[in-house]
Parts: sequence; structure tokens; C-alpha cells
Amino acid sequence: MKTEDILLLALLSSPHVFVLLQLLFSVRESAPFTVFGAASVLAVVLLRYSLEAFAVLVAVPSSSAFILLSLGYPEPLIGLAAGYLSSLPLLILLMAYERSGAPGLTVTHLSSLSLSLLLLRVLGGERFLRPHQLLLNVVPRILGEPGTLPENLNQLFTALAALSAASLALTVLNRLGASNPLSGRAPLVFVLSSFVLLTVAVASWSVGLGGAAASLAALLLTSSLVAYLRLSRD
Amino acid sequence: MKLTRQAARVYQGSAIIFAVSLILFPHPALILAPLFLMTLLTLLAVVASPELRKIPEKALRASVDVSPNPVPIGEEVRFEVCVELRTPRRWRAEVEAVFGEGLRVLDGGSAEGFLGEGERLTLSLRALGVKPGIAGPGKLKLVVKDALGVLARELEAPLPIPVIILENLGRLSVPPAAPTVKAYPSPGHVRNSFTGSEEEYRGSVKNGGGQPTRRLDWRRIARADGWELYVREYEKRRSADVVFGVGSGLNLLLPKIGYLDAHLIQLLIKTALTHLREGSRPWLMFYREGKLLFMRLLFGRGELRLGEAETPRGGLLLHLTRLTDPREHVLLRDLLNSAGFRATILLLSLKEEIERFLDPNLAHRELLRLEQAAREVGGRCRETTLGRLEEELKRSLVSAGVRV
Repeated sequence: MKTEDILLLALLSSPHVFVLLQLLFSVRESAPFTVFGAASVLAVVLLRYSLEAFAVLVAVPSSSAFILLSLGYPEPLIGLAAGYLSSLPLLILLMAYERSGAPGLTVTHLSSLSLSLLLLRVLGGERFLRPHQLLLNVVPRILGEPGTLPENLNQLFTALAALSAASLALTVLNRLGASNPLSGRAPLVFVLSSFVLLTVAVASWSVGLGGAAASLAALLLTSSLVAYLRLSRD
Repeated sequence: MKLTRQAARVYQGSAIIFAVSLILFPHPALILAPLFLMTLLTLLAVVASPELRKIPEKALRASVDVSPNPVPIGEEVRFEVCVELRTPRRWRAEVEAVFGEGLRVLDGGSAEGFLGEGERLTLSLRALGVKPGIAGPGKLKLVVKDALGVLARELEAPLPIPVIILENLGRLSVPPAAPTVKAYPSPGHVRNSFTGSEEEYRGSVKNGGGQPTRRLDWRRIARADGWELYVREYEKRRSADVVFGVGSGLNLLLPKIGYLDAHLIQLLIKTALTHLREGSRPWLMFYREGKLLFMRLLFGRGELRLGEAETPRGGLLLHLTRLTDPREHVLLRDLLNSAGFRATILLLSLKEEIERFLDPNLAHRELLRLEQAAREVGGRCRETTLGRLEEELKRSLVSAGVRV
């Protein structure tokens, strides 16, 4: 892997890493199991799904946790499950980065951002969580209960998501076949796109109709692209 | 001009995630990220389009080599397609060869690489003849992409060599029946027309004098005790382009015969090989979707094959057709009006088959239709049936003055 690829992957996964760290630092009780659970599944992906790594890092600990559960000690299993859940968005992204083309990576990354946000909302305003609380709080968030999200976490997550989107754009262009995605007039287009987004964000913030402004922008974009491509038919 | 397949999918994916986020997770990060990608792709497409539009339609050139052609049904045909894009810039491109029914591409139907600045792409593909008849002509689809792989322009070029798929090629191994000239062992093997060259001795005739000395037949003069002057006369080898045409309305499946066009092509080639004298140059002409395609039929080194698409300047044209397509009438009229061709149009009447398998009333209408079409085309038309066709072909060759 080249240095710029590593940098792009780091930026791409930054919101997920941020959420994972937030969750791991918040968990009390059975924290080692949670950390181990998260680290082990990530390690399996990073070790390219080697059978030995899977056996040592996932199969043996989870079997042991099940045995302990049957003996009346549920904490290790709950801790591992919380770890697996916390690492899920990052895990999905890494798997897609390794195996998918540009469309697959786009959809997976954008979906995993939603999942990361959902997990961040599970944490809510609480400073500490127990693993079983982490698991139980997921259900209401999935069912639509918004939960609370501290402003500082929200802002940090949004900033990282913006960086991640820029990194995703460069990665996608790389996978579309561009030898150098920042060649020619591409940097100007990047700046222009960011400016358009900023305008939409500011307009929606000032008017207070964020969803409507974004929908209108998307509609205008798509229809103008279709019209332009039709007009410039060979 | 369109987005490349991958870019379009990225756009679609972003739009779907955008819509879902807007409804389920209305958070700025989730809404603006896909919107950013959509904006970026749109602007990149706008920026890339002027350069792609500058590529002229005629910049795409393709040459095709097909082997073997004709091919027996169920056997492989190999195509070597060389693609060239005459532009001063280098472009990333995808090439795909598309064929009509009759051929099933096994592998190598597409390729990806760079074109322009003298670079070429070669497509080596294998296909299987699955239905007797004339397969193709196919076309070549070229997708030229911009440097970032976001926008693509599609160009098309015809692959003007149809592939003839025959039911049984073994039946065509017919040696030439006419006397062989050693230097030119097979009909169609020689490209030169030898027009005007005098090379075959015909006989010696009495002459009053004034002939070049080298033409005097000294032996004959000696036999006449020197009292009469004899000169040798030679045959002039004439240009003998014979075009066998296959027209419209023949793509039928008939009981006992099978695919009619395949049956007729087989018969035409067999007749051509059996009855043409060495030095004659047989051609095949196909009518396809408003166009006439000509190809040399070459026979040499133990194989029968079709040459590249080219048009003969003239010659004898034996065109077998049912004249079901009005566009063919116009093309034939133009061809008959051109000075080079002496044409005989063989109108294939399927009256007997229609009477036998369909409705006798329809058979009468078929005859009327053929007469009407023949009047529209003009020229020398002869009605024939499937049973009489072989004999009619031979007769047409003789009466047209081809040396058989």
C-alpha cells in the first residue's frame, strides 16, 4: 500500500475510528472483553481472513464465552458482543475497501456512516456505559428514538465525516481509473463542489429547512446532469 | 455522452443513500456527504465533456480478420479485430464486438486499454456458429473515457464481414471441373483480371499478310507448301468477375430444407466452384438492412474463405432474391443502371412450398407480388423455384457468356 493510500484510508475511516474509540472508552465492566472483541474482528480483516487468525482471535474466545455463559457467567459474552457491535461500521468499511469497486465502496461507506452515527447516539450524553446497556440501547435507536447527542461529539463527528467524504471522493476517482485524481481541472471542481455544499448548508441553516434545501439541491443536480448529457449527445 | 457505468452506479448509490438518510437519519453529515459526491460527479462530467466531444466520428477505424469463413455449424470462428482511434491524444477505452444472431461469442468479446497517439487495441475473440445462414455484419462499440473515468463517449463502427455458417462444409469440397491452367490452379485464387492479355492458343487462320512475324504459324505454312500464309490466334483472357447475390426474404426455415439462406449460399458456392473456369473471380453479395455487401470468394491452399469487403467494378451478377424489401429494389435499380454489371435477377418463387404448407391462395398472391417487384426493379429477371434453381444457375452462367 502506498503512503497516499494509507492516508486516504485513515481519513476515510476517521469517523468510524472516532466512534469506536468513544464507545470503548465509555464502557465499564467487562471492558477487556469488549476491547478484545472489537480488536479481534478488526485483526481478522487486517490479517486477510487467515484461518489461523480467525480460530485464535474469534472462534476460541467466543466458544469460551459461550461455555462461561453456560456456567453462569454471562459478562464475557456480553462484553465480546458489545465489542463486535462497536467495531461493526469500521469492519464493514475495511471489508468494502479491500474487496469492492467504486460503487460498492460508496454505498458501504455512506451506510456505515449512518451506523456509526447510530452507535454514537447509543452512547448519548452518558459518560459511562455497561456492555449490556450498549446492546440494549441500540434497539430504541433503530426503532427511531433519536437519543441525545452532545454538541461537541456531534461537531467532531460531522467534521470527520466531511474529511471522510473528501477522501471517499478521491478513492472513488482512483477506482474509476484516474491515474491522478487531482490532475487538470479536478482540484477546481473539488473546490467548486465544496462551495456548492457550503452554500446549501448555510442556506439550510439560515432558513431552517435543511432537508428541503438539500432535496432541492439534489433534484437540481440530477436534472441538470441529465439535461446536460442529453444536450451534449454525440 | 454518458457517465461511465461505474460513475453512474456511484451516482445512483449516493442518491439512494441521500434519500434514505433524508428520511431516516436527517443528520447533516449523512445528507451532505452523498450530496457532495453527486455534485462532484456532475461538475466533473461538465468539465470533461468538451474534450470528448471533439473526437470525430470517423476517428474510429477497425480492420477485421475472420478465420475460417465460411464455417460449419458448431465450429469456432476466430476474429482478430484491430481498433485504431485517430486522435492526437491518448484515451482510455473499452471495445466490444457485437454480432447478430447466428454467432455466439465464447470469449474475448471485449477489451480495455488505451487508444490514440498511434496506439491500437486488438480484440482476439472466439465465436461459435450456432445457426446456419449469414451472421452479421456485426458492429464494434467503442467507449472512450475521460482521464478521470467519469464521462464516456460511445462510438460505433461496422464490422463489415459477415460470417457464413453452413450446415455441412464437407459438401463444398468440389474440385474445379473446367480445364486447369497450371499457374492458376483455382478459381478466385488470382486477383489480377488479365484483361486483354492473349495467352491461350485458339487456332491458326489464313491471313493476307501484314501480321508481325512472331505470329506466323510456320508449321501450318509448311503444310500448305508455302503457298498460303497462316497466323496464330489467341484467346483473350477477359475479366470474369461473377457476383453471386443473396437478397431479401430468404431468411426462412423450411421443412426438409432447413434454413433457406444457408441452403442457397451453399448451393451458390458449390455452383461457383464447379462451373467457373480458372481465372474467374467469384464474389458473394449480401443484402442486409438496406445495404449491399460484396466479398471475394477465395479458394486456395485447400481452403475456402471470404476476402475482405470490397466492391467489384463490374462483371456478371446473378442475384437470388425474393425482393421482399423495397430498399433492395432501389439498390438493385442503381446497380443495374451502373455500366459495369450485366445482371440476371433470379426471383425465387416459393409458390410450391406455400401451396404445400400454407394456403394455395397465398401462393398466387406471392407470384403477383414477385411480378410487381420485378417490374419495379426492371432489368433481366427470371423466375425460378427451389427445385429448378441449380439448373437455372448453370443456364444463367452459360447464357451470360461466362466460360464454363
